[in-house]
Amino acid sequence: MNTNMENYFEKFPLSSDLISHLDQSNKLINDLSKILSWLFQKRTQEHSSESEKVTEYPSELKNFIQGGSLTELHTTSEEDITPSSWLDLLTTITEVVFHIFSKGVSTLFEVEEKALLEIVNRFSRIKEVRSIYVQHYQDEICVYVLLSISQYNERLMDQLLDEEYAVRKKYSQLVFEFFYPPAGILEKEDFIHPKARCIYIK
Amino acid sequence: MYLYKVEMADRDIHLLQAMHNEEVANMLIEKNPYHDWGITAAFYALIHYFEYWLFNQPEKHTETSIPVDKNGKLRYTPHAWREKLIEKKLSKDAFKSFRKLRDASETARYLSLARIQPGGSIKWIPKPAPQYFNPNDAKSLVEKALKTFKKEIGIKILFS
Repeated sequence: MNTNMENYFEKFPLSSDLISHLDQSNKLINDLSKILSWLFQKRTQEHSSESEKVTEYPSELKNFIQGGSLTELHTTSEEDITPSSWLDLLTTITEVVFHIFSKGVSTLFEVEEKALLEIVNRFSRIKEVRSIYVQHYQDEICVYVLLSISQYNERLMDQLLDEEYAVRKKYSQLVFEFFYPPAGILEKEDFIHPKARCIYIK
Repeated sequence: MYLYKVEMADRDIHLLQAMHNEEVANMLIEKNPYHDWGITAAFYALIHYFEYWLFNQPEKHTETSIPVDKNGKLRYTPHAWREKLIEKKLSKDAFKSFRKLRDASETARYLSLARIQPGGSIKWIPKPAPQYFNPNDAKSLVEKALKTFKKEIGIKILFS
């Protein structure tokens, strides 16, 4: 779980949007805080015997936090939490924290797919855009917007870069490379790698 | 003279190289049919102007600040990372100036493309970059982009 979480945040650092989301998630944060207090109280009771129900706590905790109800937790019978189960509980807390942090945030793949949809939506409205291809290079997303023009067009570049800038700002957790080759519409092999994915063609 | 250059900071080297490239750009855009290379020289001027500015930022250099994965491999190319830094740290106008010059310079260097003929049929039309870029468009592009970008990062240098 910890490794997964590290990988997640390495790939997906906290954005201002997420921080804003967390600010709005006071209820969940408060719930977590209460649960942690409850757990520490349990831990200090220093019971040594293994309870047969102790392994149920992790899933119960998840249910409580996801359901947003602590009443049930407080009325739960006083089961022991033994040292051997403490690690499981910590794991669960980590999962709960992860759940909170990831709530409202899609996976990186989902974010990328949304970004590509937005790229198609924005660029397809431009008359000179004939097709769009996408390919990854390392962790960056290379977007090839093929144009049906035969002369450099300053006005068109302004329009394209306005759209590109909007996409980059909206999906700031992704790193893009945009290319605007002036090209015919059928000979993509001359510009685009055969494995590139076509996401739009007129 | 030699010792003076050796002792200069990287930051100053970037500025000197940027100024040199800008001078070359300004010469070439006036000399049809070599104006396409003026665009490329201007793009390399912008890169050095940006690196000059970046030197006093936490990242210091584009190349040395590229994020790595857990195996130490670079996650992005220097070009992509530089554009990310520009997008994050500078204005939209500066970003667009940089992007325009980068895109145009790549087209200028690698142009050999198919064209759509009048009437709709698709044929290969050999058309080198000097014809793709109207000399006046190239001049306007270079002058506006350099002016906007330099203003953004606080460089006021005039060439006589």
